[in-house]
Amino acid sequence: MPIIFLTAKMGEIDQILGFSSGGDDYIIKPFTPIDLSLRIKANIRRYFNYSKSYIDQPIIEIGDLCINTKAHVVTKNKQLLKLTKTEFGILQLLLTNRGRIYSIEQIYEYVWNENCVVNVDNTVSVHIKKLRDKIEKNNLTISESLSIKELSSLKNYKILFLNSKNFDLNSFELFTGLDLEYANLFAKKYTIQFKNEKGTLYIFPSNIQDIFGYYDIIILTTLFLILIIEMIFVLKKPLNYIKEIEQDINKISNGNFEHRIPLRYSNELTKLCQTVNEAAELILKTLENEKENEIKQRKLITNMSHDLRTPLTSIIGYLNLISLENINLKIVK
Amino acid sequence: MKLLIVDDDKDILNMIKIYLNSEGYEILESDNGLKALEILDKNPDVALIVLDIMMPKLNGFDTCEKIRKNIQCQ
Repeated sequence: MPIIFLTAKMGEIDQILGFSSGGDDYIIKPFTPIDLSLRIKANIRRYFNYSKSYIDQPIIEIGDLCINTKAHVVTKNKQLLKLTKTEFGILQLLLTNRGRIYSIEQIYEYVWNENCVVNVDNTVSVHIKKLRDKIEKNNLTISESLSIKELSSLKNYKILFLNSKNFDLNSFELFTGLDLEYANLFAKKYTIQFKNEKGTLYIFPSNIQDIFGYYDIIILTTLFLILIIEMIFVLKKPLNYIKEIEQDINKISNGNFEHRIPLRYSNELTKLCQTVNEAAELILKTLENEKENEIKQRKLITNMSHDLRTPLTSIIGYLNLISLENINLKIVK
Repeated sequence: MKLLIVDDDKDILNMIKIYLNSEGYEILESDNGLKALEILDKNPDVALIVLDIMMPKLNGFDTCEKIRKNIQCQ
């Protein structure tokens, strides 16, 4: 239901509080009864006439999938998908309650519209599998379309896919001209590379490091490089600190008085930083004091205006009532 | 149509009531936030609420937040 705030407070902060706590409209005293009545009508109209059509929106769009629940039409990438009534029911149930988890029994009861008395696991999962096939086919990237089972059959090999946008494992055989097991056997010894217009597929043996055999040298070189980089950093540190201080002081002098210069080492530089920090602290405190004073002043004005506006509203309201002919004067008495 | 008016100033409450009655609304009234919540519990068919902010016991912002939370629970 709509909530209209009625108040003598006219600060912007109060309006923000009003709307963010769930209000729909905000009337500042003094107001006339006509103003109030018009706003009541407008809010009721907005709530009861407009909100329904918004909630009952028949079209749901998720990614490139679009489903029209009234016309029972599902499109993917703007291409029509042919779904059975049951498949559509499942899809509609899941999409209109996104984020909610349903058990198989619940899906059965909602979609088949029957009480679940026997074990329906297989019935539901067959339909879900068909639905998955129809929706997911041809459009997912390889890493998504490989199920865990399929991956485990290839787990001994590193698989690298390049330029393979519209490719799934179902078409592996078509793509390579080999069946999957044969490819596995083959890949134990060699790196395989398949190429066709769809892209390029590489399968590496999992013991790939043996092929290179330069393990020790690589590790030593890396350690040496790390050592050199570390040394460069150690030498550069004090210089960097001075640059840092310069940037920090710039920040403070630009008005960011909450900023502090980090204190490192203990030398003349540190003392300098401390002095600057203290100065910034002092400025910050003075500013805060001034702000507080201003807020106090504003509060005083708000309270005074509240005490003036409320009776003023009553007076304006009653005068308005008296001037309106269609109101029975007896009620006023 | 039922409207709920909440204001701690009796003059304003009375004035609004007279005017809105003449417009054909049914008016429920309360002079503080707590009482307003009780009234809402008993009358779930209230169509709109006019709420003052500076009130004793429970101010307008808090009342509004509580009403919104209750509605979400239902």
